[in-house]
Amino acid sequence: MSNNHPTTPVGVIFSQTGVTANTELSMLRATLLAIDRINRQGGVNGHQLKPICVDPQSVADNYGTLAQKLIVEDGVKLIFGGYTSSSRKAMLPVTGRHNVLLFYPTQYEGFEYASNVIYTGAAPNQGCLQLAQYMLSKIGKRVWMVGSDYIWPREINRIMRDLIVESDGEVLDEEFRPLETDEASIVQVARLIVEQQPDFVFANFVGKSIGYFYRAMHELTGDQRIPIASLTTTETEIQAMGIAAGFGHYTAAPYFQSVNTPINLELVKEYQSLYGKDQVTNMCWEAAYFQVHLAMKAAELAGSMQPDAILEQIPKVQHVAPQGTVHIDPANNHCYLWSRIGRANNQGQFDIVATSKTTLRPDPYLVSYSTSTATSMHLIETDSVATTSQKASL
Amino acid sequence: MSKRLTAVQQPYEISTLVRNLRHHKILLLMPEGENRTKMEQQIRRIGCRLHAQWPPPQEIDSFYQIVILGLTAVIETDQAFHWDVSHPPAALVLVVEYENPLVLQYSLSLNAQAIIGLPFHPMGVMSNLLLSLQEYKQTRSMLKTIRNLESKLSSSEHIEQAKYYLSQAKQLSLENAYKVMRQTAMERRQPIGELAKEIIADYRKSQPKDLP
Repeated sequence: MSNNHPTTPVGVIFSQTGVTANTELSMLRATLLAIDRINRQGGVNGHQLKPICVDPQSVADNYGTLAQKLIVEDGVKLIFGGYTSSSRKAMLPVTGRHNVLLFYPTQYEGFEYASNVIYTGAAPNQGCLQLAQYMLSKIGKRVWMVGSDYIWPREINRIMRDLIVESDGEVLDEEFRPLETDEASIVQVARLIVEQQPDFVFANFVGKSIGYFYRAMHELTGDQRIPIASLTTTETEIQAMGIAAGFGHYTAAPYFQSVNTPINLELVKEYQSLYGKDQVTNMCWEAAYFQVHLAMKAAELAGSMQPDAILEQIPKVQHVAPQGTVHIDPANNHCYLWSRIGRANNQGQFDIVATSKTTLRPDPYLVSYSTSTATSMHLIETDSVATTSQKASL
Repeated sequence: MSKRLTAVQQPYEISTLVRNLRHHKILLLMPEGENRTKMEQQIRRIGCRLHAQWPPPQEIDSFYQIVILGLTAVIETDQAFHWDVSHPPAALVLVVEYENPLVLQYSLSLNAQAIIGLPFHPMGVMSNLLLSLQEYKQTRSMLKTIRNLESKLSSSEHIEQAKYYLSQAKQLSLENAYKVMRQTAMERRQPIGELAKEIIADYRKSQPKDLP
């Protein structure tokens, strides 16, 4: 059908190979699914979207060079992509220079605003705070902290440490490991942790280290599990590490595959019919999906695919995303999102044990966290009704 | 990467400065326009309280901890801007559209703690606010220390002098003269430096005029 319609190219930058390919591949597919759905419904302003996908191979600098290529050689005005903070930082100067609009679908450490970037993943105030509140009140106060050694886990751990100290908790120790580290070094950290028996571990590894760590903890502790709380471990990582290794551990996210909204049920079904019954979805997948819709609704309202026109209209649109209705805060270009705490079950899915009453306003420049801020978030505990049919209280 | 950073123990006041950034109140003195709007938006994003006005007021309210001044705008529109450099009421951040010797001269004479260049870029505003606050607070606390030391120094000079006069007048050893002074100051609940000044004044009154 696209033969009779003019097409508009859009850039899509997710790694299909390398250390973070696992999650990024799901984000790529979500983006393509959204584009396909929009094209099937007639496109945007009479144009069919033509995704131009490039593979930065999990190397941060490549995101910058490939963004440049998409802009200069393919003439794209919109780019959907990026996963790690370093990948975003590599694209920022390029998209800034060419005034190209970037949609970035990953939770990150905050403290950023660029007028031509829309951030659709969670800011720390939309997950970290809720996770800290839940774990410190339900699980315990003696905490071990680990993570991959780069800006995001370090900043998140700084925030977590404040919250732990404020709640009269205790940080037993903290360790970071390089992003591309070997399994032995992760196993060594796991041994240190098991020796000290904390109430829970706050772990923010990224990429392959996630699987190494959960598997090591599983092997070392068996049924005497030490709960792990994370902002990065999604359904995709649990599938890769094995359901047994992920079982019983906690993750905070705006979205889980188990969210019980009609749009999510339908979308997961379509996704699995396209890519296989074994495919799982995750928070990054969901943001990658809905951000295309937000962008295109704004483009339609603007009657234009120009970045400035889309930016002007985007605060006026909202979208019924799989996680619930979301919209952009024009004050900071970040997204109003839901907040949920999930506990991994024996199917590699998350039982949702707490949900925010409403979407939470993004506050990317919040420096100082306190549990009193978290209390005002009104998490509804859904622990007692965490059966497969009644997980979310949307 | 940040291993080296964690090895450095950050002074407590500095980490407090970062945590408390949002509690600070900012006076933004820039003419209305795109740059001021963008600056206001970024400061609000950071979460500080803000009041914007133009032209600059006669006097800066002590309510504010940071003043951001459009310096090139002040120069070009010939506005008056009163700033007491020896007792600045707040940290001063300048916003400049260009740097030439005149602008640099003004920046130095105002003793500004930070300079932000235009066209506006959101990255850097938070750093400059923090740098200016730190610089301002450190300078202020250093000045306070210096004043304390100066007053201590001068009071110790007075004490030495008074000790000597008292030992002469009462035929006491220097050590005992000091004991008497300390005892008296304690009884009167008076700083010993003040007592010393009184002793010196009394002693001088009792002496013939031609003596030192």
